[in-house]
Amino acid sequence: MKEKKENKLDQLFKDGISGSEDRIVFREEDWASMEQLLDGKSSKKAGVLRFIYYASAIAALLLLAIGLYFFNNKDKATSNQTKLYGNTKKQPKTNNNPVQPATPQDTGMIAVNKGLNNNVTPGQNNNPVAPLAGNHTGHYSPVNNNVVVKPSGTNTTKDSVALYNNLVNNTNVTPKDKRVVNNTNATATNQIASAGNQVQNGVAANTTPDTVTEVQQPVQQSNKALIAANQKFKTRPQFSLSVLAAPDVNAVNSFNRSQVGTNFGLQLSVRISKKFSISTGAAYAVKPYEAGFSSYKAAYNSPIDPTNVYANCKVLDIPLNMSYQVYSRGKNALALGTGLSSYFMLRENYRFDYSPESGWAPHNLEIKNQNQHLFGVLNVNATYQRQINSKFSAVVQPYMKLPLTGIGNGRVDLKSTGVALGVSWNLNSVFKPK
Amino acid sequence: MGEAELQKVIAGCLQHSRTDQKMLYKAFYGFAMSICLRYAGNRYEAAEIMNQGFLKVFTNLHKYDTGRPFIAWVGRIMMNTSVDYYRSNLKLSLNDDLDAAEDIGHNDLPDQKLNYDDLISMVQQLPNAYRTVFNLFAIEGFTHEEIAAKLNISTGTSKSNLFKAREKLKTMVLNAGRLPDADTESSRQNIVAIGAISIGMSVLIEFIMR
Repeated sequence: MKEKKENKLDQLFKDGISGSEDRIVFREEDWASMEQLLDGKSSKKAGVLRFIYYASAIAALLLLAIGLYFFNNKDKATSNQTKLYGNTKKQPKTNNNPVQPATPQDTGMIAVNKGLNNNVTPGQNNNPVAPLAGNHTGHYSPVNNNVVVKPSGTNTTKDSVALYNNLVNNTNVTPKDKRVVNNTNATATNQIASAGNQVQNGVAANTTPDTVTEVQQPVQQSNKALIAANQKFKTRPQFSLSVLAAPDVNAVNSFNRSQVGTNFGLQLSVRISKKFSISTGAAYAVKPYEAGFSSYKAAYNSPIDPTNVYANCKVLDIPLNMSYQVYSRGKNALALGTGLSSYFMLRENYRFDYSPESGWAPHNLEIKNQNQHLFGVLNVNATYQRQINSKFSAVVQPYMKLPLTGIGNGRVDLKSTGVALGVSWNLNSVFKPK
Repeated sequence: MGEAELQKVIAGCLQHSRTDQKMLYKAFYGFAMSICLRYAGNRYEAAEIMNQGFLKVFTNLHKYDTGRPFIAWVGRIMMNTSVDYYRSNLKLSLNDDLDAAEDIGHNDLPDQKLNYDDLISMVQQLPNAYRTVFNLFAIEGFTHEEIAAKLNISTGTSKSNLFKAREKLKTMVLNAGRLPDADTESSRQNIVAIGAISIGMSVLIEFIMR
């Protein structure tokens, strides 16, 4: 094959490198990306569906975050933040739901039971469920089953109503055992929301003969709540959670009278395809700025106009961004993104300065939770990400926030620009099946 | 994995069984990775190449000739995938005295033993073009003519790339006592990143305290 004038250097490397297979440790994340490759090959369509699911999940999350904010309309910005954090953490789990409906319909009793057993979290009372499945022999056994479930201690009064319904149903119609199993399961697993549904289902199942599909309803709902277990994404997109902190420059109209503010927050990103990802999150920002009174549109008219306005705004910023990866090689990746931010003005402090001639003392104004700007700010950013190890990446994100509406009490054109620094945590490495 | 077991797993993979695919993947992971690692610039690229290679293994499994050793087939796929991966930047070349290449590293090399990690990281530090030729020539044992045909380059380029690869490797081996440059660079980048993060965190904490 080759002229045998063996080179010592070649030999050194050949000997040193060969026979190294055993030294290489298997990494689960490599298989995870292999699975993605295999899945990507088999179903392009699934990707589109997944996109819709995740997009809707993110929208739901955003609504939830906003709702939470209004619900919790105190000036405890930090506690808001932690709650939002909790929501964002749940997010990848809720995404299981879309997968579930895809499982075959009318699977019959066995399949339904299987689904249930998969989804029940370990801490919950699923023990009574297992014997249920086997016990469906006689006419009156469902009644017994219900009795078994009851002492599990989880039933609210509503639940027991549902159970009562089941009891009634069971005594009426014996061959409908499947429904009973499902309903009791649903109650046993603490499904709070569906107590009413269970009653409905019980009734519906009683009247209509094809119960199986309807019965799946509460099962799916319980899936939504019992998110913990089913983490085996067959085809999972990349989730990552970033903690970002940024100094930024705020200015009204132009950047020549700018002031430096602070920004920190959490960001959840979902990589939906090789290039595209969607991110949302929450950031708490302090935006001090200074402006001439001309750019401040006051709601009241004072006899003398102030000369200057100094403002300090505490803002909850909820962005929804989309980004496109333009470069990725080895550990480094660069993405460009854009999107819209909603600003919730938690607290606005203004100081109005008057000219010395007027003899007026500066006047202060404090406003809390008055102004919200839903999707009122345009985000433009670039994200540079460098992988530190399989779980963490360092993120550098220069960004610009350009208002589409007037921000705050004075409806000012408050621009911000800055560079966010942070760490991104790859959640897939956590939720990976062992 | 025994021969019978291997045949069973291959049969399962042909049925697109995910468990069998994973078993095959796991069984040949070390072998495939050891090939990709020396063709790739780093672990991440190696993993990417390896997965592309495995995708070819899975999709072309029906073409595998059962009369031949499976491992050799996998190895060839991994090698070809690696070569393809860097094909676009393989033309790096220079016109030095090519015959000198044979002598490089033949003499004046210390009789020291270097461990696998050191050696692989030296190989990985080579430019793609040099590394590919060095692998094909020194490790796989191809001739310059075969390499030229495989990579679609001239034999002169192949020889020259080997020459440069050996030259660089020799320097690295001789300097093996010291830290290789790229290593310090990446650790410096890590330090910068950590520093930036801690500054950000301290700003944040300071802000909260206020």
